[in-house]
Amino acid sequence: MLSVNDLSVKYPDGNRVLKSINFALESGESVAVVGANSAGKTTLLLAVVGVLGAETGTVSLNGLTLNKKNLAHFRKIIGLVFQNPDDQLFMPNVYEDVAFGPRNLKYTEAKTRECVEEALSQLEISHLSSRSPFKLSGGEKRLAAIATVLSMQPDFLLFDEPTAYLDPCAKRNLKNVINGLPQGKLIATHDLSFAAETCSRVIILKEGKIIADDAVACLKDTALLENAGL
Amino acid sequence: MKNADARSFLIQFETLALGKTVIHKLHPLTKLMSSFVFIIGVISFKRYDFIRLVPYLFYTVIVTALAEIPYRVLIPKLLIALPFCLFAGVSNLIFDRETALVFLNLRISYGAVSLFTILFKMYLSVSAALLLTATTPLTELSAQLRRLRVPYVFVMVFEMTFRYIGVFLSEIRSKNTAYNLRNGGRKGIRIGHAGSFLGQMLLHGFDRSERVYAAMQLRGYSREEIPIAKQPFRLLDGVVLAVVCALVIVFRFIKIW
Repeated sequence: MLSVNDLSVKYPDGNRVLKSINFALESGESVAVVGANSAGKTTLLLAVVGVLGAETGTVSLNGLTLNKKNLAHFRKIIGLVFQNPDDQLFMPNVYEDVAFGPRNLKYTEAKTRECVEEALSQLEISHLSSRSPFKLSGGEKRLAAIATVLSMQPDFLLFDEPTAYLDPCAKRNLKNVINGLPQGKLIATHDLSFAAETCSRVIILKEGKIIADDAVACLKDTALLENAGL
Repeated sequence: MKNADARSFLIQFETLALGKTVIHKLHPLTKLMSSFVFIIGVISFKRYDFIRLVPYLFYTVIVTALAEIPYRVLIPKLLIALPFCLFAGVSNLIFDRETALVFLNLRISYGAVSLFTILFKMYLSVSAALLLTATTPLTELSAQLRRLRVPYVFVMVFEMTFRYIGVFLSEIRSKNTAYNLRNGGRKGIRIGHAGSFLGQMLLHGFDRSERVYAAMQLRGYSREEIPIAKQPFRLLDGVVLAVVCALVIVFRFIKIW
């Protein structure tokens, strides 16, 4: 279980972006984090994987609290898919990009190949293996970015605005892919229909605070959404 | 060259490095050390030693052929360095007019010889560096530099520069397009806008670079260790390195011409 306890994050300019955030994510559970722009969705994801340090509070994984010493362990167990796939794909071809993580985990070449092939086939993009990420379509880039994280065999996946830059067809495809992934998922989005189709629970953020943590049906509460600026 | 083309060019280079030719299969340390020795050998020649550099041409020709690197990839990169060398050598034509030799009734001055020597040295050394990067993946090069005890900070700067060039080129391209679409059909960037344009581009570039670095860290990238598949150093690797070093030294110190 991934749990976030009383987490606050303050940027160096003094802006406190997250204020006393508490929630837990069970294995296999899909939770959407929705909120208006600058509500703190991306900051929350970055804090969970330790890219941003907490001002107060903790992030725990099966009872183990995130700190500098176990950062690598956390990042193996929790994979983050960035909003812009171009930030995540930087190797000469898709295979090398997907192999980047397993190699850093010091897997043998055979084990790395196995992880890469499994991740690519799980997303049905094995045919993109030798293609340059730079030349892929938006939807293909998104899947390749997910594969780079899946190859590390994480237990939890964090998605930052997964539907950004995608056309309706690619979005539908992504929805099916995400729904088919067995890991626990935290999906930061302001695409409410996507959240409803992929998650069972919703956390609504407003100005860095959780104003609702409820079943996905709460997305039908217009007053609540308007209050959140959605 | 447009920025999109420049980025494609970099990707093309990285893709070439994943080839399976006999040169690609050599141990990265062999290629790194051979290139280093070759470049040191080439640049150590004096300004009028044009003819003595000719044997070194075989190295670039043979490696290019065996590695199956197309000249259409190499030559544009070589041309980037050309203006700098011309600038460095052109004054020799003016100040060094004494006749060095007469060829087909054409008087060739020492200045011309030294200019051609500079250009030839540029061709050989830049080709060797390009061939190294076109036949060896960046991560392997970085790992070998670390193996040679090159300080981490230099290796990181080398690796990040290569990785972030694409990011900066992409930023320049999008900013340039956005500017051109609203600049009323004028060509180029007006001087009054240049500072702001450059500043914004750098800010966005740094921002994206940070995100790329975060993406690398999240997938286990460590500042201390560069992961590569362990490739054994074979007898062939040692022989190739020894032969290249021997030939570089022989042609450097023995006057055949």
